[in-house]
Amino acid sequence: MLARVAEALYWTARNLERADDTGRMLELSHAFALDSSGDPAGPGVWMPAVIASGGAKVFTQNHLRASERSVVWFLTFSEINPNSMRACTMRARANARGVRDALPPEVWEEINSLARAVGQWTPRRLAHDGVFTLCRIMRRALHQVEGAMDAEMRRDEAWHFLRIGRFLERASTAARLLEARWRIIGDRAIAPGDRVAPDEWHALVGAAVAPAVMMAAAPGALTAEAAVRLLVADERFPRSVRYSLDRVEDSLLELEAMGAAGRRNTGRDLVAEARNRVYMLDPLPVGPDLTRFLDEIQERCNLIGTHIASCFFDYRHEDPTGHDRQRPQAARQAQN
Amino acid sequence: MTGNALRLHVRHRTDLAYAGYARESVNEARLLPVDGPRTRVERMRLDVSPEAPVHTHHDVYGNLVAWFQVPDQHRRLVVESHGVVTSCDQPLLCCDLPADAQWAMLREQAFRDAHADFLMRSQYTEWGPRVAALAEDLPSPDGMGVGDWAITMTTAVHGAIAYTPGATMVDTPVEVVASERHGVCQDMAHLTIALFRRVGVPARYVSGWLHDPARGAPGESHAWVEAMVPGTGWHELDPTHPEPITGRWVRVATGRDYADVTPLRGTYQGDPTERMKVTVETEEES
Amino acid sequence: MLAPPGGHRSAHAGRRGPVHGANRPSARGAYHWRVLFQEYDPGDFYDEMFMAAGHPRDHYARLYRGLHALAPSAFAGKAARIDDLYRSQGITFDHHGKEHTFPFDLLPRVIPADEWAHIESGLCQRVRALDMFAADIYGERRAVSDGVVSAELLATASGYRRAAHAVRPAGDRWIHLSGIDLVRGDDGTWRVLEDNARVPSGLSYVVQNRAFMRRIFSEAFERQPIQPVEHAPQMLRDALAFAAPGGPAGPHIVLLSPGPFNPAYYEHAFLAQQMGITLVEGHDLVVRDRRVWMATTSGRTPVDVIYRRIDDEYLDPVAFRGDSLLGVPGLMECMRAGTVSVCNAVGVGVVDDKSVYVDVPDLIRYYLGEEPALAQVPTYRPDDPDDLAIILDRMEHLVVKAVDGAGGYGILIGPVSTARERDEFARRVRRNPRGYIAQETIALSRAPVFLDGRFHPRHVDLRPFVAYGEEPRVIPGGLTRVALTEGSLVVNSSQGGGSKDTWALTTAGAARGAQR
Repeated sequence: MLARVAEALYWTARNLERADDTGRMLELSHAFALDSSGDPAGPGVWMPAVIASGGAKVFTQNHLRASERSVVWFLTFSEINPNSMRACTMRARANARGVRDALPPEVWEEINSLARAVGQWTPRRLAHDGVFTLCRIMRRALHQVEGAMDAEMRRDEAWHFLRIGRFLERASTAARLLEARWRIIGDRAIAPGDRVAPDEWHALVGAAVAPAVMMAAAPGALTAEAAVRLLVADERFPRSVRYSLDRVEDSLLELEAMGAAGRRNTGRDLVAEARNRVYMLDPLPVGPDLTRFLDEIQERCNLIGTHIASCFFDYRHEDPTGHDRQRPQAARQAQN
Repeated sequence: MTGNALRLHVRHRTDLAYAGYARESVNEARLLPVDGPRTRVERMRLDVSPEAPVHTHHDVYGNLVAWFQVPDQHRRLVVESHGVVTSCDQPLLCCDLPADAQWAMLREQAFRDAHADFLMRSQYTEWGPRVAALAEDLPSPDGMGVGDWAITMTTAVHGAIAYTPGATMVDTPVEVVASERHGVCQDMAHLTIALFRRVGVPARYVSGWLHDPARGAPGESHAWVEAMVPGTGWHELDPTHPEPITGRWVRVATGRDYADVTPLRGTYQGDPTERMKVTVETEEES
Repeated sequence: MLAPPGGHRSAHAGRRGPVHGANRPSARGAYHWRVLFQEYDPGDFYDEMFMAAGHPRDHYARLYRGLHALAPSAFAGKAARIDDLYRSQGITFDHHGKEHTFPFDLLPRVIPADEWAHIESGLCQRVRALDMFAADIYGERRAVSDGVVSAELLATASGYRRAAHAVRPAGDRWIHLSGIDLVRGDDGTWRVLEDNARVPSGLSYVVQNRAFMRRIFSEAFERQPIQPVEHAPQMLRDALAFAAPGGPAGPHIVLLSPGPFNPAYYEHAFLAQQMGITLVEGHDLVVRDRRVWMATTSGRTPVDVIYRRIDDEYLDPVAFRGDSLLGVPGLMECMRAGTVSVCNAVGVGVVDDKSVYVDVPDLIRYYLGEEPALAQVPTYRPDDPDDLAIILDRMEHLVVKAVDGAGGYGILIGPVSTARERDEFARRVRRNPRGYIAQETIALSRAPVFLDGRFHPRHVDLRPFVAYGEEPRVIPGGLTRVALTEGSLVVNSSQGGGSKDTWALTTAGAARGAQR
């Protein structure tokens, strides 16, 4: 398929995933918006969300405090944050628009509607309807998009590039999200076997796996290690790092089988390496060791992304510095 | 060919340097003369550095166009046309037709059709009220034949327009030249062409090299004009140097205006052009 | 589709069920239809459907009877559903930044078999001659040396491209797809209004209109011997394949589009998908070794044929406009080298010049030795002093147009113009006679259009498409365009026009092709 189309699909998926993950982070922070004494939560709860989104530097340059108001705005509609939910959604739409005919009409329609809906939100509405409503709208729309893609699309190159974009972004962000979530609970030195309270469990894992389910399986199951294992190494949990990397690897394998890469190296070996790092880590680290490990995962994901781009999308020998303009030759040569 | 023949070794070199890199460079050059009544090409070639194959074809005006592409990254592009050309003096203008018959012939549809391209307003010769106003100040035909009038006008344009390098750009419209009354050879040529065409005299633009041994550096890139004189044919005239055209005027390309004869045009991707240097060397060979 | 505000109301209500107002449901259903048509007055214009009020023409009779079975609200409901379909599929065009559907009227325009046969042969003849003309003017120019057409006319045509002289298209075919606009006057005669060879648009609507009609209004098709248009994309593809250089089996064909921000992008995407070819933009293509290559995820693939929906000027910044980012640097050289075919060929726009149109009957005689089968509209050229006198004298009875205008702008419609407008046009014409032509006003035929809950007569024209590979083939029917505003003669999409499905009938009883 056209390199340009593959790249647009890849970035559509990455941007949608990014918007979704930002929403999840916000929801989580919001759930801890009041601390144990009932006062509005401070930077301890809100700053990790900013850090997880990768916007710490921009945020601190423009805001004095990490409060509910400033952080929610920063992550949802702020113009200065290139990774705000709105920015990501708009970019996804712009990417998808250019390759609309490679997508089922339902998928384009959903992305388009979502972008329109998000575009219409004002600060007033955010204050009035609350951030949960926005996140729910986003979640539902993205479920529709994923659902339509899964139900309607042939498993061809287009489908795989969408998948790679979604899961590479998810793997990369999962690492960051986990780190941020850990910070919300508090910078306690936690040993792997330490018990974790149900609300802390929720903070780490979200709503996907209820504490009750874990405890029913084994009474002492709510441990720090169990939470990390679920989010990092579980091959059945769709939001884990391991699962996400597995899907990237599957899709790269399929693309190779389809001849999509010619004879070039797709970077599948890099994905396998990253996955193996996750797989072979035993026991799983917690505390500062965890942070180091998660950083490593993120770096590996970046490397994989760069490699994928140069393998499949490098059709223009694109100059990332942007000096890449078409110019007229010898424009000023006048005659004597 | 008649008259004195000047055998010249010519080298025209365009040296482009980019502020950084250029790549995906695709170009057309009109820097190779062709055989004609005044011109015989002994040998002539176009070389490019970085090295690239050059493909030629003849355009609709008979110009020899060289096409080449430099896809890979480069900091500098050098395009050089060089070889040996024999260039002759232009015969003096003589016409058997009486003056009014000449002017009458201009209005015949067959004549207009034969020279349609050179009667129309073209990109750089869109004449309007300012050119018309200038024409008022210049000689009218007044019983002269077309050729004689053309010669007179050429001298008049030379007087009316101050030769001023740097005052105009490569795309300065002819209306601006007419109102500001300054320019270089390209502007004077465009203006002369416009003045001819607006009264029905077909005129075309000639680009080439002027060999002037009296100057320090004898060669230069130059532009002049040709007028179609009924009953005679194309007659070359130079508003910048209003004198009889000799072998020192080496023809390279012709067309409606500068846009049709652009020595080097094309596009590339990358950084802006930092410097462009054009040098022309002409040397008489015996 | 229902354009005026009332139409919107009933369309919207139609989606939900019974409507208010004029369209009361069923008890008087069967009467209603006759009532709706009873108020329909064909007037003095040639009406496509009716010979006289209440008397449909033979080829509309079955449709007329069949419509009686349909409640008006159901008809309105169907109209709304088709508009929904267009909108939800994103079949819109961009006009001044907003996306509009091209309003679609549910009542088809029917052309009887014998008339269609006449149109078809006239179009084939015309396109053959135009194609030979293009080959000639960029080649030997016999028509010029034999005095059929003036070199001055050609030199000053805005579509004339001097670079095309160095290119010999494969099979000497220049015009692979054309749209020849036809109108019918009040005497019922079909006339050619103008030729569109440059980048004719609208083919996607022909196919899509029919597909939606079959889906939403399938009952109308019962026992109607209609020529199918479903294979139109294949016909175009065949013409493009014919153009392939050196005839490789299975040439690699692409559609070159300016991209999603072009108003006609929907059509580009649709046609590419229907023809099974890749939709590309300029920067997907690159020239190497004087061949055109497409950038894919697995590397570069050579391209043999480019169906381009980009104007000549923007195709190659080296040969034409240097500031164009839409084209492919070096494309002209590949054409000269014969490694790629561009369809339609560079330079065919000269055929679209409305002043060249005046000479087309002579060109048909010259190239084919035949009399033109299709009449033209009497046209005057201001650069002819006699014609100029007529134009200035009779301007209020004439239509004055720019020779290279598109989309219906820059037009003076004499009978509805003000003195001030006529003065302005007179000024323009005097200043630039080569830039204008004037035509006798044709009382365009009309057809019933469903607006405000009933049928009203509106002016229509017809744009049939001709795909020309080995032989010219006319796509059955074509695009009927409707001027939705009462009395308006302007049918362009960007100025309040709409369209109808067009039925070219086969000979009665011998239905060609499948009817599903």
